[in-house]
Formats: sequence, structure tokens, C-alpha cells
Amino acid sequence: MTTLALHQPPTYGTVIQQQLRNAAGALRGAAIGLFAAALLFFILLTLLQSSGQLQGPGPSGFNLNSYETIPVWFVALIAAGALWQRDEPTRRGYHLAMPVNAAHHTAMRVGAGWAWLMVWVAVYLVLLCLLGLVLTLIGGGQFTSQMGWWGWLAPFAAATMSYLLASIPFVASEKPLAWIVAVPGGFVALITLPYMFKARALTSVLDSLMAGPFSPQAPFFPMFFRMQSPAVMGPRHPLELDWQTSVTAAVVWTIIGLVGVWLATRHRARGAQ
Amino acid sequence: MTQPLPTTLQGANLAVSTRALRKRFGTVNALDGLDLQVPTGAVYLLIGPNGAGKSTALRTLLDLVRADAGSASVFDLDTIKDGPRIRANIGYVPERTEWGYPWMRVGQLLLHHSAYFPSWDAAYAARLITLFELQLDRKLGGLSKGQARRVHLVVALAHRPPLLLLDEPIDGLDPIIRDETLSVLAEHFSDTPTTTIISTHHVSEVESMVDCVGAMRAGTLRAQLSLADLRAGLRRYRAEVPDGWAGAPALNGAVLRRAHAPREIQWTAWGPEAEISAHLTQAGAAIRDVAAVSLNDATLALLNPKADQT
Repeated sequence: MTTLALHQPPTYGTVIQQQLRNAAGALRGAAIGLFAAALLFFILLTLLQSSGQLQGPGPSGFNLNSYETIPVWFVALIAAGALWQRDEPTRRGYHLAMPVNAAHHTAMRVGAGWAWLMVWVAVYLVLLCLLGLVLTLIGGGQFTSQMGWWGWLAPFAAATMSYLLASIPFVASEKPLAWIVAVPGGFVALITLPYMFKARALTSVLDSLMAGPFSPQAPFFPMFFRMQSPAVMGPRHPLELDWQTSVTAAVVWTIIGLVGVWLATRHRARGAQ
Repeated sequence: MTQPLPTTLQGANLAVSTRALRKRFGTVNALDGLDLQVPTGAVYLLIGPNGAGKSTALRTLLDLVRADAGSASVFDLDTIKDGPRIRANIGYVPERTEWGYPWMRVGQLLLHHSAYFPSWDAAYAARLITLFELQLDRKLGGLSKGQARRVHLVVALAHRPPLLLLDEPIDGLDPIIRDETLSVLAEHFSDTPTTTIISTHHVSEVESMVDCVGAMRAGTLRAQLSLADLRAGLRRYRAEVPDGWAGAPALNGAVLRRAHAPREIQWTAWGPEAEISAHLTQAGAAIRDVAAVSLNDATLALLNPKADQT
């Protein structure tokens, strides 16, 4: 028996604080790049609007709609990738050798990245609102927003589910990008083939699936800004779902993402340091 | 063989012990029934050829690798159940120097690391930084192997852990820094109550610090004993032999290494000196001298793959 006075591990509060700092450092480069790209887009649209070249459905020429949630998807993917850059499972010895439960430690890192992603999405929404306001002022329209509460939350939900799903291969795989290309690619092939071969039984199943809360696209199309007069609003997007379906889909896919991340944090790399 | 090589350390108060540890990577047996015994306060040298399972054994103690069978304990704590608590008491220098934070600067890493180890000794860390000439503004992703090794040494030592796991700690260091590192380690052992496991191929350079030796081959311990016992039991015998000498069958198994010189043979053999000398003399060899072996020669003898057929 040993009588040594053993050292204690750190508190979880300390670890979370450290992971938030680390995530900020890991995501800094991507954040600067994305912010610069958003600003460039902002300036370009403003210049086009002021020169009267912006084509659109109404006199203001700009209609914010569900498509604005799509960039959030890619931003979430970039965040997951930047957080785990050059830190594949077999190179993760330093992270895993820290005095914290390895699965909890990895989950805290994923959580810290998510927290910063939410800040990014908030900044993105602010920029979109500013853009809408500026374009409306230049174009002479009326700036109004009739977006419901879910419309504001949807980008956060879409980012959350995308980030969680993208984090799974980054946490567990040596080749995360291959998974990120292969899984959506396989999914698209899976839903396209029955239509190509006119397999009616399968297409009807897929139709009901894609329109319901299990549709992976459901959380991406609920956001509907009404920043201009209703007269200039474009037609409803065909993939747009009612908000209840969208909320259900977001919850379902977030749970799937959380379970996936939970399983990924428990994965032990064969040759980990 | 007169006596088998010892594989257990009798009566020692153990800081680290593993029992029948097995780990298989695909078709390779990385650990094959490993029974490691590291006495508290000892500097334990783990030797073995590449692929012997040394790094896997160390990583198992950190719970970076889970054994397929067997168990391991550190300070009487189970490495799986008490992983975080055990890791709070370990300073680890891995063989591979990858951090996972290529964007982070050395100074940031030290701050980050100190937050995870409440026992971090800031004054000692500052001294080590100076000794190892660390540049705190360098990014981790841009460090050379030697620089990364020095950073690892600082983070491993500065929280004064009760257990140090050093996997090739001086590999990749230039001779001056290597000498400095060995001095720092010697000083650390003298002023910090530490148990240490060193895995290195630079055996002769750590000889003065070592208390115990474990020789691994193919995932298992071929020998495990104190350095004093090794020096007492392992001898090099130099003898002149007649032409057409048939050998000494009574020594089968005791001879770990054999070397030829003109008209003489050298044996490195394990066992009582008098007994081995008697066997050689009876077989017709004229012993010219018997000498203790250096740790480096002992390593060559213990790890000699032909030892069992010599």
C-alpha cells in the first residue's frame, strides 16, 4: 500500500472554461474568414442595390427567405472541422491523457465548439437583419419582420443539428471528410434512384418521409423573414414546412446528433497515443 | 539453465503493477501477459526492441489503450475505473509528439496545462522553461521534434507528479540539451518523491539513475529485476577454448549472448559465477577473466533473440 498524498484532478468548471478558450483559439481563423466573406457579400449586395442592378421579386429587390438558413449548414460543418483540425483520434494522445474522463472531455470540447457556433449564428442573423435594413432603406421599401419565434430559433437549431452530425466523423474517424462526402452523397443517391427508376412504392414512402418530421431537410427551411411590405413577398418555397413539423424535425435530428456524438466520444482509436 | 531470469520483484511496495495484461492489435500481440511491477520511488528502465510493447504498456497505464484482458493499477487505483485521478498523478512524455492544437503557442499550452493540474509549480515551470530554452511565442504546429520533446518534458515535470512515464524522453534532442535533460531529471528525482518508468534505447545515458530494469520482448517480460541483482547475476566470461571445442551443455539456457574473438569465446551468462565458471572449466575452457557488464551490454544480452538457443 502506498501512503502518497495523491493530486486531485481539475473541476469540471475549470475544464469547461479551458475548452471554451481552446475552441475560441481553434475557431479563430475560420471565424475571421467567414466574417470577412459575410462582410464582402454585404458590401457587394449594397453596391448592387445602390446601382439598381439587384434583381428581385419587388421594388426593394431583396427578399430574405428560407435559403438564408442554408449557409448555416456549411458554417456548422466548418466549425466542426476547425475544432478538430490535425487532431484525428490516433493523434489525440495529449487531449486524452488529461486528468478528465476521456468521453466527458471530448464531449466538453464538442460543447465548447457548439457554444461559439451559436455566437457565429447570432452574428450572422444580425448581419442579415442589417443587410435587409440597409437594402430596404436604399431601395425605398418598408422594413418589417413578421417572423415567428421559431423563425428566429431555426438557424440555431439547423446549426446545432448540422454541427452535431458533422462532429461525429471528426470525433471518431481518421478520415472525417470522406464520411462527410460519402454519407450525404449516399443519401442523395438513395432518394434519387427510386424516382429515376419510377419505383412508385418506394417513392411514395420517400415522399411521406421527406415531408414529415424525419426529413433531414425539415429544419433548414422554416426561416421566413418578412422584412419588406407583404406586397413584395415571393411565393412560398415548395419545401417550406409548417413550424410544428420543423420543430419536431429539429428535435429529432438534434437527438440523433447527440446520440451519435455520445457514441463517438466512447470510440477508442486503435493506435491512439 | 542454472537459474531462470527473475520476472518478479519480491517484497517491493509497488506504485505500478499489471497482472496478465493482454492487448492485441489485429494479428499482433502488443501485450502478451505482461506482469509489470514498479516499486514506489524507483526509476524503472523498460527496455525492449521496437514493437516489444513498451509504449502500449505505458499507454495502458494512462488508459489511452484498453487491455483485452488482465488488469493494471497505479498507486492501488484501477487504471480504468480511476483513470482521471491516476492521470492527475502522472507526468507523461509520449514517444510521438503531437498536440492536436497546431494553432496554439507554447505559452498558451503551458497555461492550459497548468489549469488541468492544480499541483502545477509555476516557479519550477519557469525554471524548466529557462533551462530548456523554450520560446513561448512559437506555435506548437511549427515545433521540431526536439523542441516538442522539451515542451513535453516541462508539462510532464512541472506539476511534480508522483509518477513519471517517459517514453523515449531524450530521443531527438541534441547532445547538449540531452545532457541538460538528464541533469534536470536527476535533480527532479532527488527533490521530488517520484516513481519513474523510462522507456529508452539510450540505455547507457540513463544508467546512473536506474534502480530496476524490465526487459520486454514480444509483449512479455523476459526479465524484471533490480539493477543491483542484474549486476550481481549477469557476468561476462572470457575463456580460451581448444580447437573443435564442443561447448558446455550444462550452461544451456544460462548463456544470453556469445561473442567470438580469435581463439577465445565471450559469454554473457546469468547465474552464480562460481557455478558457471565450474561448468566452463569442466567442459575444457580456460577462463581468462570474469567481469561485470554495463547496462548497455546487459540490454543486448537480455534482449538477444538467440539467447534461448545459445
